[in-house]
Amino acid sequence: MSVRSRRLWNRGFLIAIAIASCAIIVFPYYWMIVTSVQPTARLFDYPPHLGPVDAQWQHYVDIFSHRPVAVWLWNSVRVALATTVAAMALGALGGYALSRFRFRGRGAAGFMILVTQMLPTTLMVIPIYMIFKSISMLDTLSGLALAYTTFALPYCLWMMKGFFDTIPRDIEEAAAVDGCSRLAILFKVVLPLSAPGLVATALFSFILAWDEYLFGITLTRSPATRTMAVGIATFIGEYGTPWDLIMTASAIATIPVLVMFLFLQRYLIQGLTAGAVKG
Amino acid sequence: MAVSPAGRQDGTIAPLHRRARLDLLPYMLLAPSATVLGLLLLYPLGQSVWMSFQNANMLRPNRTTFAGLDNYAAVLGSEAFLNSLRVSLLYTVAVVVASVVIGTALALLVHQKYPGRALVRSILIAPWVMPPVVTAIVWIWMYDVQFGVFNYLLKLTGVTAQNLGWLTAPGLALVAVIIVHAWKQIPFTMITILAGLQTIPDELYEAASIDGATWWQRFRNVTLPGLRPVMGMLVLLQTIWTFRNFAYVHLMTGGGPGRSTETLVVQVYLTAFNNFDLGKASAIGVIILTISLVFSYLWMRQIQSKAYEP
Repeated sequence: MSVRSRRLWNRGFLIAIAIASCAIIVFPYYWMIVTSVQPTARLFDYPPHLGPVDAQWQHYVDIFSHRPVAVWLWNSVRVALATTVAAMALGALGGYALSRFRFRGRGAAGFMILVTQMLPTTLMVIPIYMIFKSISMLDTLSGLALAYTTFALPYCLWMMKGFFDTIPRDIEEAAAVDGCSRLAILFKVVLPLSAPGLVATALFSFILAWDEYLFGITLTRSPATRTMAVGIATFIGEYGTPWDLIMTASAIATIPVLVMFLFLQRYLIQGLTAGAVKG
Repeated sequence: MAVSPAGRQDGTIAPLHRRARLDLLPYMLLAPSATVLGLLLLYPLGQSVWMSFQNANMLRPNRTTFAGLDNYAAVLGSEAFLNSLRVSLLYTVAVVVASVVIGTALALLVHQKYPGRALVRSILIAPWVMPPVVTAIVWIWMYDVQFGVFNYLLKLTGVTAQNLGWLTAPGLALVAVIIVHAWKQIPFTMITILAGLQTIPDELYEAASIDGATWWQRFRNVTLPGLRPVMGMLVLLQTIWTFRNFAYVHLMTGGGPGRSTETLVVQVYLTAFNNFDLGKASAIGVIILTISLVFSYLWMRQIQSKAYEP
């Protein structure tokens, strides 16, 4: 075989494997969508249809009257946005301090952040429940946002510190020489330069708040404060599960984060790997 | 290095004012974060540790009495705990190994050059974006014994002859959840390894090729050593995250059937919310944390003892 044709074979082989891998990995998404557009009558056909048959969008309309999905969505949006703003603000300020200033306790910070990754959520849920009960923040969305900010914060601090570390001090020193106060340096010089880090932090916090469900089911009680994740969890174990509607709700829950991710994945990957590679 | 009024040798910034006073700014910047973390992470953690030394029942909070090490003794001697420990270890090792091996393979796939590879990379990250609740419920549907597509595909391709009880059979349930969790973790592994692959200089591969190395030899002698730093951190993170993970087991099997999928974290949950025994639940939780800490310490010593530079 000539070198050229072997190279074409190799490339073709790679592409075939790539396509197969993608198909396998993405299949659950595919199945979720196919089920959601399947008419209920066809749902339990055997053998199951691997492709959509008699596809319809009716479920996407029905789901809103079947369950208070609109409420769930709106709750999720509010909690996730609040978490994002809080985590970004605290994370950026704290990350800057960790990156730029030498003070006691700085070395321990990285280790403490690793420790927070080890804390089992089931262990933390009871004392946190009791704290929220004593400050009357149970069954509130702001309580959820507070809890989620707490969990996002260690990671946000670490990511922001990593991003700030990559910005040369010369720029700040130049601004200082020009007479800028240190806070002004932070806000006018450094933050604009670390936009990718801010985006990564924001995306990470949003997804964390959107996805979270253990504290959601523990800290909230009434249907009015349910988020999407908690709402969908109520489907599990239900007698006579309406799979077509469940998959519809699932798709609705996934699409916002999927869209955000598609547009912003570059930043998130940067943020994820900044710590892991430089370590 | 540049000499400037504000910059120090180690890259930090000195206070701009010449007064010899304590620089308050970093503390002020960190204060909000420290407050939140202190109140909602450290304090509850302390409370949990305290609770592990008490006889505490969730339904009778006023009758809490000191128990010393009773909870720990009861837990460590119990059959249920040993079972959960075994399940947790199996679960963690399987998920980490599977996701790292497959993630590495996919990273290598995405690292090669062919048209559309950016699209491939985006598609392969998809599992990461699916919320855990959605993931659990979609897979529950796929694993359905009678109508699930998983069994259907297995029978179609001739792998099995009859429907398998993926979430209902004691032997299979753990495997089923492991598959789901590994699927979810693959994107993170892939992206991390991919970043690591990109730091390995091409010259090393060229030199190996010139010396007549096969693909496998290049992989073993250039790629793997080059990935060592990244792998070290990756395995550590994956392990502690998997070990403490609750969602997939809880949502898909609840710890059953029997106790075949009852990991330690699930046992904490059941002990607290089914048995109402807060003392024991906290004790198990503290044990989980201790195992993670010990593992992390040993692992980091291990990866830092060997030289990184090739």
